[in-house]
Amino acid sequence: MTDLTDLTLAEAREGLAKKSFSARELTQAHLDAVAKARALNAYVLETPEKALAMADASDARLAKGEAGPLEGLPIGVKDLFCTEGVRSTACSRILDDFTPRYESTVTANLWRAGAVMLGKINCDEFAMGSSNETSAFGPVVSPWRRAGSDAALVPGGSSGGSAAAVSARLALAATATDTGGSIRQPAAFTGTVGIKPTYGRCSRWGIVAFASSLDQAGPITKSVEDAAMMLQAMAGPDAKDTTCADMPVPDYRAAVSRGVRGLRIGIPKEYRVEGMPAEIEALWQQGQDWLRAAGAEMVEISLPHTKYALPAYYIVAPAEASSNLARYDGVRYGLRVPGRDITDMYEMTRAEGFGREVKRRVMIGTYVLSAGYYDAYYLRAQKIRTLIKRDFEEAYAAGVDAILTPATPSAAFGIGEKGSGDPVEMYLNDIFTVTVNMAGLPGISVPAGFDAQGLPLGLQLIGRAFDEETLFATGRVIEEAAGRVTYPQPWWG
Amino acid sequence: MSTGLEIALAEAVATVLWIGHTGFPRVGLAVLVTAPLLWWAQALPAFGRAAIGTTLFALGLWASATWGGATGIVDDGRIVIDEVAGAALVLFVLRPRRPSVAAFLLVAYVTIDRVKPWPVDRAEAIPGALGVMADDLAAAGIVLAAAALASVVLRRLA
Repeated sequence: MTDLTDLTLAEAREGLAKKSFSARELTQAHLDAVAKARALNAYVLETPEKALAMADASDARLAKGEAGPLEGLPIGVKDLFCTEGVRSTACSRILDDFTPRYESTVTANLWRAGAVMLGKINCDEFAMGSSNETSAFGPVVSPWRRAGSDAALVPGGSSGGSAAAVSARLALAATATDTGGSIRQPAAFTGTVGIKPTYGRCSRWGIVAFASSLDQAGPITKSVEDAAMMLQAMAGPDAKDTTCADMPVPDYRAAVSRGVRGLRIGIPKEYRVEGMPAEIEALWQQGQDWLRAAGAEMVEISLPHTKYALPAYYIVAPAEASSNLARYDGVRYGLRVPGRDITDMYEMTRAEGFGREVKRRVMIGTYVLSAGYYDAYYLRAQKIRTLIKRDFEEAYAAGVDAILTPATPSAAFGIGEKGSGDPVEMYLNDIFTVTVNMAGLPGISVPAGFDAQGLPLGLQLIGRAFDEETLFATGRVIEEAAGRVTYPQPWWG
Repeated sequence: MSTGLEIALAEAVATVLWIGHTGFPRVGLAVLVTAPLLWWAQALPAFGRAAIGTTLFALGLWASATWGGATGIVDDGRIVIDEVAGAALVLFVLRPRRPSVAAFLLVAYVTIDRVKPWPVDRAEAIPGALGVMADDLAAAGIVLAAAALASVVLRRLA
């Protein structure tokens, strides 16, 4: 029999339906894999007892013929999602041993669909990072390595733990969040599929906030079909989040096999950035050829304000972060460091509790929101955001159905290789992904090939608002043309 | 409680001998493959047609409920027994004399079933296995109503 951890979500669900194996067996296989892979540091909290109890409940429902669409499927949960009775820290010291008394809407939806929780997954602290190196629990190590090298690589970020866990077969799928590319960039780095749905498609209730107007939950999976299955369960209206769209969730799984015949795919000329590696350029061209061969038409488009997206993003996101993170004062949550008086206690707690990158962003955010600088920075950034959104609207109004771009400007890099001296070097990783968050659109990263050193590379598809279906259909065409990415060889145990 | 054998049987029935697993044109393929049998059965006396039609409907209900209960997928696209039951209803009631007319009726039926106009869309919204079967029967009902209307018009014109 195939190793149960090699299965995709869809294959595992089929196996459970046909009683080829039980949910307990499937869960145990993943728990064993997690235990052997601690060198990757993908999980910050393993919940084996809870997982097996959930698996047994799933087996009972499967036996009664009352199964949900994700019944018995073991998944990992990014530590940004609040899970009732299970420690949730956003991978920050400041949340210490915070154990929520409530469940985030997205995870509640997943449990209702029958999914099984294996544990909480590592991520950048408060999702601030592009390499998973800012976590208070230490960096996640990518299961991928360059050919002929033992150097540890980053899995991307901030959902690096989710991507590493799925790629290393430590979960059938994982939840993730994306504020500037935190789902799509790690997916591209690890040969997995990651979709950031339209802003408002998934409830943000119970997800630790980074930048509220940009944050959105989504899945990281082994295949496009799995991503459709996961998002189907995660998405939906929620009265507890007023920004969550009150609209029905389409049948994503049915859309996967829809094909791309007759679709018009936009190729934005502004994404041909200076210094882009030839292999990324070649991959992008290959993606266009695949889609053309499947019956789609390629159309060159212009998104003229793209060049302003990254600087504007790094004003808007820290501004919102500084506001959201003001609540961590040592009084209501987690860590408290005693001080001479209450102000001293606030300062000591925040100084001790927040990591370097979080502090940097809180300071940037506070600065751009401060009197005298608000108009010069924050207000201008918001105006640019409107222009970026308008660029996309004009492209779609001209008849484009989806936009194809590279997902990242390079393959995964080494731990400690970037950003230690100049944080902007790290921020440039998000160059192809931030526009999607700024415009609130859906974007998917699909594995499409490898670089010269054998590391996975991804292509990004950007869709119209609330049209994730076209992304699944188009992503599937790329996935089939590229061939399913092989799993990394398990050097970790 | 469904056993593995029951689920395997339900899968075979629901997908009409695994045709439902073939991908996108599965509905047309299932109707095409079963059309010769339905063509043969439409020549049977009323009792025989009613028995086959009822059995198809009952089998469809059972298989959809069992397979749906095991997979957790509401109205799984791979279930095609419902389309075959609808096709049977069209042929068993109208009993066309020429294969070309039967083919035309089945194409019309599959088209309506795919486009899902009112009330097919409403029938599809019925929860559970009944909803899986009901939209196809509604599509068949539209074909029957259109055929009856065409018949009246043609008689008036004659």
